Amino acid sequence: MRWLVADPQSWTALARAGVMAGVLATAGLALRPIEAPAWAAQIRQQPALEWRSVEGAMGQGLSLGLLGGFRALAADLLWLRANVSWERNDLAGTAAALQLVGAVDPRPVAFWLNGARMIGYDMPYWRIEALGGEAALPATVVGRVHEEQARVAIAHLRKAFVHHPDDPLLHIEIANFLLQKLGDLAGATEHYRRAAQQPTAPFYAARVHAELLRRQGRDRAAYDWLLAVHPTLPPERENPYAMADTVLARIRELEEKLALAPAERYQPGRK
Amino acid sequence: MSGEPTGALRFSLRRVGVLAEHAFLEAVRQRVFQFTTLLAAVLVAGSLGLRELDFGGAELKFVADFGQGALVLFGSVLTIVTTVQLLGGELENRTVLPVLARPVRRSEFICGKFLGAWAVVLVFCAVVTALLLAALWLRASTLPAPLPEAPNVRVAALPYAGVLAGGVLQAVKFGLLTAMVLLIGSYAQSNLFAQASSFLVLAVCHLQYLARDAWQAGHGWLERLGGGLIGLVFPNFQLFGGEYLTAGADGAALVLVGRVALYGLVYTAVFLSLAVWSFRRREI
Repeated sequence: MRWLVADPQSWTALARAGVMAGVLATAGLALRPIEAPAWAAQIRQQPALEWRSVEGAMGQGLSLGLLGGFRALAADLLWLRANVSWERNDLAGTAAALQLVGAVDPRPVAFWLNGARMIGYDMPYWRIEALGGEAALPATVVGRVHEEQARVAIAHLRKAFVHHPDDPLLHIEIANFLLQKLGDLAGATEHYRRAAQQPTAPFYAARVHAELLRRQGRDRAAYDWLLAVHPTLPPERENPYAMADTVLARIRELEEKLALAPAERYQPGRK
Repeated sequence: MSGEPTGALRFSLRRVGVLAEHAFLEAVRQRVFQFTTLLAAVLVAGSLGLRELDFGGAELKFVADFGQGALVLFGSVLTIVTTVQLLGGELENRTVLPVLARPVRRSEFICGKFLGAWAVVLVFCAVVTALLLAALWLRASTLPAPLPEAPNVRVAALPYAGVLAGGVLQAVKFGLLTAMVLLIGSYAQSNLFAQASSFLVLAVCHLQYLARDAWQAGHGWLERLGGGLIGLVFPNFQLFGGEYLTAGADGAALVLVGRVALYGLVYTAVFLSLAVWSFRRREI
């Protein structure tokens, strides 16, 4: 500090820096009312980069790319890294890369869906292989591994809801894990219902929800649901994905099963 | 030469204009402008070929993201290098002395350099944004319209509004960066120091929101205090990412663009004033 005492110019420079910092801090405070709503709007639409989650985990090239604005490209390169690890059945590497992809660019739903499929459908087999293979393990252990990975996959998908609230594809993926890996029919039914109620839901979500209700023996609920769905569907010749004729056929099947009188039966186009 | 012999000399917009015109012509002739513009243009055009690399998002979205990345990266390099060369070059070569020996205020000199440098960056932004819009239109016109499996899904929502808003906001951000580089250059003793410091400040401004997070939820008083100070002193450059405006080109989105532009312009005025203040006290 001796140089500071001896050199009055240093004091001047320090005083100038202090004045500048003071002016800038005052400007920062004054501009906060302009900045805050814009920042809130931005992170609602485009989540801020979770730098703490990605720092140190990436090479300098990717870090520079992120700072430079190539966020989508950086996430794509990380997705490639996840796939390389996946091909090698490298559980730790794949899991880490998937987490990075989500942190760098959580906007594409496809990353979340395909990542969850790797976690829930592929990783159980890698773990079982590492434990000695399916033939050498008790069925309870094999089942437990599948369940554990399915729960990890569902947790991975639930994280995506922060960035994609009530996205129907996320609900459908969770429902499929619940149905196929955890045997939770009621849970799967509920997620298909929530998926079907979103404005951007694929047409099949409503049909699968009705089928799951029927599998639980809730024929009346399935019938009521399809009655509500059918009038909203475009004719099959306009959009075959909507499968309006198939929905009508299922309605007829349920009417037979519920033994409804002809007068009580659904008449398309009549309210 | 120390201080400013202003005397009765009043601030003249005409002199600022002449200085800005000279600065602009000088900057346009520099290779860095031609090089960065060419590289950004090649990258934007190349994004059409790189679409095979797009795994997660819609193809048009990837092209838009990639083009905006080129705009941000090369725009930042162009702004810093051009501004440092315009001011630092004059100081190092002593060509500033004959200019300031004439009836020219130092504030006019700095404002002229600012306008000249910013005009170059505006040209760059306009060229790259126009190229990006053309690339998007070109690709969109060749995409088949798939039959929607899901109702109410916008199959290929074109991000034109977001790209345009992004271009405008990046131009404002580069104006702010120009003023910041001029402030650094007003006391820097070498071009190398000015460039290195400018790139460092650019990185800090891009990560400013993390400092704000540290202020709000940091561990320990040192992290909180440091985060609070950085969050206050440096502007938030992440605000200028215009992608969130693609959500809707409606009135609310326009208000947001205006809000962010105002934020950038006010900060630019503050940094420019500080650059003038600092330059007036500089020994030349």
